[in-house]
Amino acid sequence: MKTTWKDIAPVPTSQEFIDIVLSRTQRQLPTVIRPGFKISRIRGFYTRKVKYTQETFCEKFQAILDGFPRLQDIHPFHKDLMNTLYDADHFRIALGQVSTAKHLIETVSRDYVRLIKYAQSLFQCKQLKRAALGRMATICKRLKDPLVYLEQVRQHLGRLPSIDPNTRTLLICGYPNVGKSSFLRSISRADVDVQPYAFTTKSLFVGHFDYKYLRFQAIDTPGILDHPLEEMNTIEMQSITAIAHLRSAILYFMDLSEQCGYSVPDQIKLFHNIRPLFANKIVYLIINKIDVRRPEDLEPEYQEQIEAIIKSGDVEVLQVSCTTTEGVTNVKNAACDKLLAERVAQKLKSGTNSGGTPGGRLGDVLARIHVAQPMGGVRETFIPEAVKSLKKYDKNDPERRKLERDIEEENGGAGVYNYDMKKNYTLADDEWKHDKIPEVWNGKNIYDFVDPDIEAKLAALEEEEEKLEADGHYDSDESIEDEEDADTRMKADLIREKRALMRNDAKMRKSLKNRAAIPRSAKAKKLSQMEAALDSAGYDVDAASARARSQSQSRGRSTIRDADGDDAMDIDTADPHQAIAKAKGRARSQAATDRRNDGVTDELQRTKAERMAKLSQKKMNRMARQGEADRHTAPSLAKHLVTGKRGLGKTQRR
Amino acid sequence: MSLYFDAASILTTQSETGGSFKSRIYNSRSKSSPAQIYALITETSKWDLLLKEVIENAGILDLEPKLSPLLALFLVHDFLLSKNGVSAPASHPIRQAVERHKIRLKAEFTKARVRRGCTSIEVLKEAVLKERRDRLDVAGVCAKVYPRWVRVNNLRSSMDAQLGTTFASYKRAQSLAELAGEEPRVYTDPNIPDLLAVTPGMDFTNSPAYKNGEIILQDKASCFPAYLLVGNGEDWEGDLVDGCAAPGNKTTHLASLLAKQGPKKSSKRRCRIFSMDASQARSKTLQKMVTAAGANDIVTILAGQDFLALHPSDSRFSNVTGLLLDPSCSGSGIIGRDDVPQLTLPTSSKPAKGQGKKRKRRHDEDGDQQPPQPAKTVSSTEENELSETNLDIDRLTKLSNLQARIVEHALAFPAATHVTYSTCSIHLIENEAVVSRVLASNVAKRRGWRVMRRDEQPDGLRAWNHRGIREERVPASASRENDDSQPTVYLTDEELDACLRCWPGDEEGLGGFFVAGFIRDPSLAASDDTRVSNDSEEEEEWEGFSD
Amino acid sequence: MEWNGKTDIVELHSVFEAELQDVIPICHASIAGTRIIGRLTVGNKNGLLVPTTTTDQELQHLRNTLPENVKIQRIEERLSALGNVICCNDHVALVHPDLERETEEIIADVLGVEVFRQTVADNVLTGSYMALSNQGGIVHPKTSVRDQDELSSLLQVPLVAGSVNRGSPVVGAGLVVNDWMAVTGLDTTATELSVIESVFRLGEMGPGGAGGAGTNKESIVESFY
Repeated sequence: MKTTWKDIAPVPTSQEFIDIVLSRTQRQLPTVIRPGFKISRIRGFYTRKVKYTQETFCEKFQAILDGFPRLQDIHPFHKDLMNTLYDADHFRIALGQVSTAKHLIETVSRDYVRLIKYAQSLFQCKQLKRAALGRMATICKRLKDPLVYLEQVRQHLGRLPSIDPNTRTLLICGYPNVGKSSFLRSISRADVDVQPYAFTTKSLFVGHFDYKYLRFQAIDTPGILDHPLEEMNTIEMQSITAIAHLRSAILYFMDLSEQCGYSVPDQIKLFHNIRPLFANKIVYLIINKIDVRRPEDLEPEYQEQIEAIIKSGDVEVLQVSCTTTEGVTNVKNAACDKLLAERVAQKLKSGTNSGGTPGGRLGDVLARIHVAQPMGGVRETFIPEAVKSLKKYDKNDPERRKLERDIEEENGGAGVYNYDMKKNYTLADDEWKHDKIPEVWNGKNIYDFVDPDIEAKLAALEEEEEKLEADGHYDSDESIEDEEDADTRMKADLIREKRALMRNDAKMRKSLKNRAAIPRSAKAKKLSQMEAALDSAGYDVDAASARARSQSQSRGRSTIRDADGDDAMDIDTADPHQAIAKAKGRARSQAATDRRNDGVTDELQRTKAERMAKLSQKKMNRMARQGEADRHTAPSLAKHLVTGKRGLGKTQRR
Repeated sequence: MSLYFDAASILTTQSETGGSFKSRIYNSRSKSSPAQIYALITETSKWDLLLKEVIENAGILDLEPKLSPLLALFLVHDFLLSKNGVSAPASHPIRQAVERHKIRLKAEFTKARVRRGCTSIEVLKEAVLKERRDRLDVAGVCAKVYPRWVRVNNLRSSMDAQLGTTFASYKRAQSLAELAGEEPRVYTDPNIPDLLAVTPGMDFTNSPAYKNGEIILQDKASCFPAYLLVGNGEDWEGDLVDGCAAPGNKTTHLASLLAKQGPKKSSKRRCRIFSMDASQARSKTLQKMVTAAGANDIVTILAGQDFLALHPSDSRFSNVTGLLLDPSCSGSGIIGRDDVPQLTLPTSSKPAKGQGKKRKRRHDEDGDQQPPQPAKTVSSTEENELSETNLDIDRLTKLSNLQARIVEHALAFPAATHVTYSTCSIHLIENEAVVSRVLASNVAKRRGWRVMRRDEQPDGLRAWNHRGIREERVPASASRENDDSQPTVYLTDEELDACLRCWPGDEEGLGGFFVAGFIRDPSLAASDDTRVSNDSEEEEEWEGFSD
Repeated sequence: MEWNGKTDIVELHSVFEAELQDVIPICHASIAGTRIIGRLTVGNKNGLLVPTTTTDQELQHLRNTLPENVKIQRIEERLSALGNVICCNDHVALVHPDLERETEEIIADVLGVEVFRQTVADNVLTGSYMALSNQGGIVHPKTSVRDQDELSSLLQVPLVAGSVNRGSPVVGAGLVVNDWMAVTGLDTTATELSVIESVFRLGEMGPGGAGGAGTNKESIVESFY
């Protein structure tokens, strides 16, 4: 619900209104019209003028009507407040007049538009327009007072404090000059004017403060004098409205010192008089100015009266002195606590269904309030000792810790300074901190080979080695080799040497050049080469070469035709190769194929196949679009349409 | 560690020997100490609901193929609740299987505790026990009180003395139902003299009275035969025979009852009790019990003696007037085998596919016919009953034949006037049918045996309301296919009224039991011809059936 | 206390430096080259967990800067914004229900905490919707009373449902807190601050103070309903 109306557009005076509307009509619509124009055009021109002016008027009036709050739609508190301040009847009538004017203007416009339809000349039209606009202006002029009034209301409304009637509210009331505004000043940051005369505060003031993480509003009301409601002035009525409508904790201020100029019995009497308004509210009787006079110093009869007030109902008495700030927080806390408790209780009650279980959203909220306590023991906590002696960091302390921020500043500021990630390493040697370690080395990820226990393992190995050495494990004298070993070794050396020579030889051979190495098994060797190699190695070559020969000659019938051709058919050509080449040159003969009947067994099958072929083509045909292959006849123009100069006239002519 | 596997195997495999839960643990050939296994199983059973929740929430069964639900239950119990954690070496696979999830398990355990609003494990323990009780109450499994029955041995002590000493701290209960609480209470049984019912869960095995044989832990039902046979024992004359005596509770009961006449009748010849059992091993137990009860001087033990092999006309037994027969039976009436814990097993969220093969095989070996249910309870007795109610009509027939032979044999003792026959079975074929057969037998007719009518029974038993039945009482669930093989009982109402029955699960707090007494009436001896002929026809019918 | 990035961070650094002085050293770091280290890492006085995207150099930088007794571990975890999925104090950690089992073990080992899979007000991002110290915690404002009680018992600290930054429910992201200090976003309202102060027992409430938001009950009802 809206609590402030600061955004109402300013309301112009009637004269300004007319100017605005007419100038707008002037600016927005065409102005040139000639008597020679077609009459329908002239009529249209003026109809438009009239209509546009009417629309602008209506639009503006509607904006005013919409901008002001409708009294039946706003909170009773605001409604009453407005009633007090602006007189609801007056307000309603003003808005009503605006609304009526709007209707009148609509009617005028309708009438004149109708008349313009029958006008015969420009002059007639113009006269009708003038008459229409003139009548509209007259209607608007008659709105002079309401518009002025509305503008004042708007200005005042905009300055009204934003009072939320539903939130947690402390309402400060009492006789004039008892220290209400001082109290508001002392509990909130509201800058209320405090002066030592009555009716310093002429309207409601709102101050905000926090208590228990919640925002509270405190409303300072103008002082009330003790007389009947009918005789109260606007200023006092504001207080009454606030007391009557706001769900709040009411702090009724009393000044026992009578510095305010009103006697204690008067103040008590006022309390009793406005008491009916306190029904269902939390009420505190605040004794102010206790630095001057305390209730204990009061005449016994008044003391008794105050006692009576306390006894009569749930009214509590608190004492405060705004000048010495004694008891201020006490009053604030007491009032807030009680208000909170009551509001919560009410909410719980309304949110609880008939079964007594909180339902819906309240249930969710209550689940959030629930503190699940564990069964059994609690966990051991871990808080380092150092925390207890931790000194709060203070920016202004010259001894303060040097933060990263400071280091950054010293080293060139943001963007220049680069944080050193390695400076906090805890290594065995501080010098290692900035050692460079490659991530990948020789194509291997270093960390795949990192062994955290390598030192221990090395130590163990060395120890084992030492032990072996100490045991004399390496002292055995097996170095003397016998004859046989020497011979074997010599032969092995020979073999190695030979192999090295061969390898070298192969390397030297240029035949391979840069070509791919062909495996030896795939390479043809001449028999003679084999024989030579075997011979040089000291083997008998006969058997091997005989075997190779026998393998190269296949056994059985030869697969090629007899060379002498005695058992072959006689052919013309002497050269068979030529014959083959000739044969290759010819196209390969193919059996004639009948595509229509291929693959179909009989007539029936064929018709079926054809039908299916057509069917499958159907969609393609249907979807077919014109393509470039389609026959196309371009439209041809008659010659006169494409020849000749173009004059000033339209091309259309041609 | 074999502890967990042993515990699991005890609960899953059917015991071939039967016997109480405790005895099965002690008899099992497991490596770990029986006390440890017993403690593990009973402790786990207290927590099973909570542990099931924890295991299921932690989802370890899906991830650990090594853990069967039962095994997981034990391991997690030890891991979370026992002082020393899982008692297996740290590298043992099943320990690792659990400890791999230690964080998760502990977290789920804490969550379960918090969910129950318990601040500490002690509070949680109470909450869980309560929850378990409530749940079982709802399920109706434990609704009935099975009190611990204690018989005072008159040879060593007396009722009043015991109430003054051993049970001094116990409150007197006015009804069985009052024993349900945790508080120790004692209730004097109205049917059997010298018998007390005590709050379940009381352990007497360490009390001096038990060690001295002043009190004997004996179920009420098994006190019926001795009491039926000799009454209060004051006017009993002649010797007694306990034909199938082990473990000796009934023998000592007889001795205890006879002890009441003790000093008064000292002038006469004292009654003797011949007690025997066919098994040598069980005879040792018998000897131990008799010695413990201080009945050595009136009880003569014939160790390893088969009752059927006795010759009735043996001179030793010439003075035998009463015989107590409690032949081996199917044991279908035994409830709970004292307290086999019922464990609620956790389930894995996935359908048990991974563990299916192994488990299935084991089920087959067990003869377990249950389809894999989502949450099943394991208890060996249940399996026992199930298999017995469903099948084994053959076995029952054989047993009933044996039982009839034993009774008929007893009836042939020359001086015998009273015989009681009892079983701990609920099957008609072992009970009323046997009585009917015996009455129809030649020896019974020749010698004039009839049933001990209700009005002839001792006072306490006369007041007992559960009597013989004519039709098999069948649990609704187990409908029997072999209805045609249902034994018929040819007994008069009077004769049926003479048979005493106990049913498991009723308000009396007893297991299933059957007792019948026979009395020799010389006036009937071989006189009623018509009846003989009738009965002989029946006899034929019977033989036809018992093939 | 750490955050990343080098540029324009000097101001922030200085603010923290002024408050923390030498009690807690400040370390500049980046995780996977990004500045959002608060959301990507999680730690307590025992250790620090960084996501798998952390580079070797960043890890080494952290190792070099942090004291020896603080363990650092890089976690191979699909949910790499560890700060969002894990919420912990020195004793307990609440984690996203979809975290790997191995991660859970690592959290328990490195941070020395009990680990619970949990949701906060049906949100899986426990780290985002919960701020936790050894003295108290704030959870998502829509957490039901029952859930609060259960969580509180699990954590063994008082809990309260609250918001930061003018009604934002992402309390974990809008707030850094330890046992003696909290830093919140600039938009945080007075009421929110008061709730934070009281539940974490900071400032005038002091360690061992009354705790809880009971004192502000009226203010909260007034401002939210």
